[in-house]
Amino acid sequence: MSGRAAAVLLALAAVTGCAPAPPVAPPATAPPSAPLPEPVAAVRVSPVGLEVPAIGVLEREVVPLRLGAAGELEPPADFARVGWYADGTAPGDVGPAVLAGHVDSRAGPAVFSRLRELEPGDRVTVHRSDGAAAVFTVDEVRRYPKDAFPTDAVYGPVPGAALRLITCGGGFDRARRSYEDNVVVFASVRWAG
Amino acid sequence: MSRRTAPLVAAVLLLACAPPTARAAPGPDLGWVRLGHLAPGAPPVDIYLAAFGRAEQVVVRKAGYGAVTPYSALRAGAYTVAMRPADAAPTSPPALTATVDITAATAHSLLVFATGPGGSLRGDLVTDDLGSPEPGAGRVRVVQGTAALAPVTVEVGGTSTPLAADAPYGMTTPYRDLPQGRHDVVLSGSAGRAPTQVDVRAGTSTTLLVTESDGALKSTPLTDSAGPEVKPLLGVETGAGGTSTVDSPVWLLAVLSLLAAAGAGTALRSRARARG
Repeated sequence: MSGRAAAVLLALAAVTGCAPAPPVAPPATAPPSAPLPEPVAAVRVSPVGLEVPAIGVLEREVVPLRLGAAGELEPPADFARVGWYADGTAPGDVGPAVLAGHVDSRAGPAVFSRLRELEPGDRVTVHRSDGAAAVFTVDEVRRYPKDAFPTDAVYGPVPGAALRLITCGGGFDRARRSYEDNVVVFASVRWAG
Repeated sequence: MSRRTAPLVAAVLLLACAPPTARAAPGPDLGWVRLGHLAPGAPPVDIYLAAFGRAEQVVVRKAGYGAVTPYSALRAGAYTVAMRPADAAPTSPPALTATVDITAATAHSLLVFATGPGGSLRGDLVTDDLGSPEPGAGRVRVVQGTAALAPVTVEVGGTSTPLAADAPYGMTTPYRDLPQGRHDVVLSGSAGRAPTQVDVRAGTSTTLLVTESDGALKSTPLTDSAGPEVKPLLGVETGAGGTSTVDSPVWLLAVLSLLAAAGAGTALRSRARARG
């Protein structure tokens, strides 16, 4: 009996052992001693539309998303809408702009139900409140267990204008009413390659 | 652990580590590159790029002194960059070629200075910052692109150590963290001083590019990287299951099958014992 239990435990440990280490907060350092500089003027550009022709997405409204109590990105309240992490990067600016949408509601497919079908090279256009349009090229489509979500790869600093489209995927845990995985589409604005 | 269960554990391991749910590199297999013309006397250039073994493509036209492209993502691999005088035939010999090895999750600037032998063009591949600065701070460095006004010192108001001290032409300083805000900056070269302001945003890295224009110092802030000041944690709950076809989590299935197999093993053993 104890042998069997050990085997199961070992398997469990091995499974969790495959997950990347959770993000670690950088060590605190003393704040700079210089007098505080003038604040930087806030520039608020926001996305106002999204076109992903390869999967038939054409949105004329993008809703703002905020962080929840646990620091997680809250999804759009409306299953038919795409949301934008509004305290992050505006699509087309340098940095990883984040758009999230539901894969399905309880009733059926939602706005990002076909997100996982995207392939490298597909085009994603985001229309901005300043009238500009940012055209992104899909770099990769990946799936991550939610409990091993690669925060830094998805939300960390990037040198160019980048976009992350996020929805759910993988198995559905009916007890928790939650998908096991997130599907993340990585896209960027390119002039080369 | 009995010998019978060992292969099963191995199978569970394979399953759990199989793509696409878990991979070695968490992000896409992409690096980033930008190109800059920082040779004051050299004419504008057309810039060509070729992936290893592929044909060249023109990516930038008529880049003059002081021009730095935005970054572009490139699939990891070896690339050749060639520069020809603007409007020269693509078949003409390039004024400069450089090989750049792009690796995943890195950023580089290929900066062309007139620092080669006899003032000829030389490409410097500079590694750019993709780290997160301290909370509330941004990162700043200087790329010194003026030959005529060198050396150049760059001082930031309210700090005692200059960002760049007597920097020669072609020098790239290390990054320094500065608190978020608008900073007063003074450039001083061999001919005069130039006060300016630099906006530092939390979570961003900036290059202050120093060039010469009509005999005066000029500075241009370039964003090296940017990210949200506060990164979301965990995943995103973007589904309610209405179209789901796969129910239970994989590991649970695996553990259940393991239990079942172990149970079967015990049953076999006890049957053998009963027969014996």
